[in-house]
Amino acid sequence: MTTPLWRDEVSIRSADERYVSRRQLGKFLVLTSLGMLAGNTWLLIKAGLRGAAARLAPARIAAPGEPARGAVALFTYPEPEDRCLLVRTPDGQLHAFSQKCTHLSCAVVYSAARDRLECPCHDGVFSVRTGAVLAGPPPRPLPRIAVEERADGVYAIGVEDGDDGDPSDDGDRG
Amino acid sequence: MRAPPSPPGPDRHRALAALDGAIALLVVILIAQMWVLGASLESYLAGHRDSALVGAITSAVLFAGSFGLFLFIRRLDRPAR
Ligand code: FES
Repeated sequence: MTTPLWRDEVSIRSADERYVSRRQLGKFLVLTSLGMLAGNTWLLIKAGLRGAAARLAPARIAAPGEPARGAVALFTYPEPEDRCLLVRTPDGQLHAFSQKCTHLSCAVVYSAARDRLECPCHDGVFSVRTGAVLAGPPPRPLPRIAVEERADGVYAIGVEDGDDGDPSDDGDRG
Repeated sequence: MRAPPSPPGPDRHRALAALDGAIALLVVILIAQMWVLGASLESYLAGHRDSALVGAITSAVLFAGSFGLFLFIRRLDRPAR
């Protein structure tokens, strides 16, 4: 039996074809694995950069006397993409925290009616005085921004990682 | 003129079986790596910076495994051609 001309030209056998396609699949899987490693490395670099930024220069974040009692002012610190909020509680004290929820990074907001910080995504609740978790899924307190009131305004002077202190110290649970 | 392709003899069948095994292992490694990446990302977003290092090391070890399989596939390739 003679082989048709196209068989000579194209010369594909099904076993060969299967072999080649599986080999290609194998190589593709290894490439995907490299992609996963790249993702993890990127996370590591980001985490390293954030760690390096722990000691920071002071930045003016509000005018003297701002915000009013029971009001909130938004600012970014230490980087322009790090949103934070500054709250003056009804007793006149200033508290500042990162606005990024420690659960899945939604923006927390100040509830003046309940005098606490709330995350609308999964109903996480934080103390406005200590940043401690009062309710909901967040696993850690909010990072606190150290602030200082000077003659010419309110300054952010550093970032303190939220410690897992006893939220009952705060007295505003519930 | 090009040489005709090698017939699909027992060597090719053995190579095909080995390739299947390697691919199965690669899939397992990839699933583990996806899980590690997901867990590290979630942990990073929750503010645990240290977990990024553990995640990266685990992912690197898993990648070393898949790269080893890649070399195996290449070696398999040579006699089969
Ligand atoms: S993101 Fe804030 S509670 Fe889930």
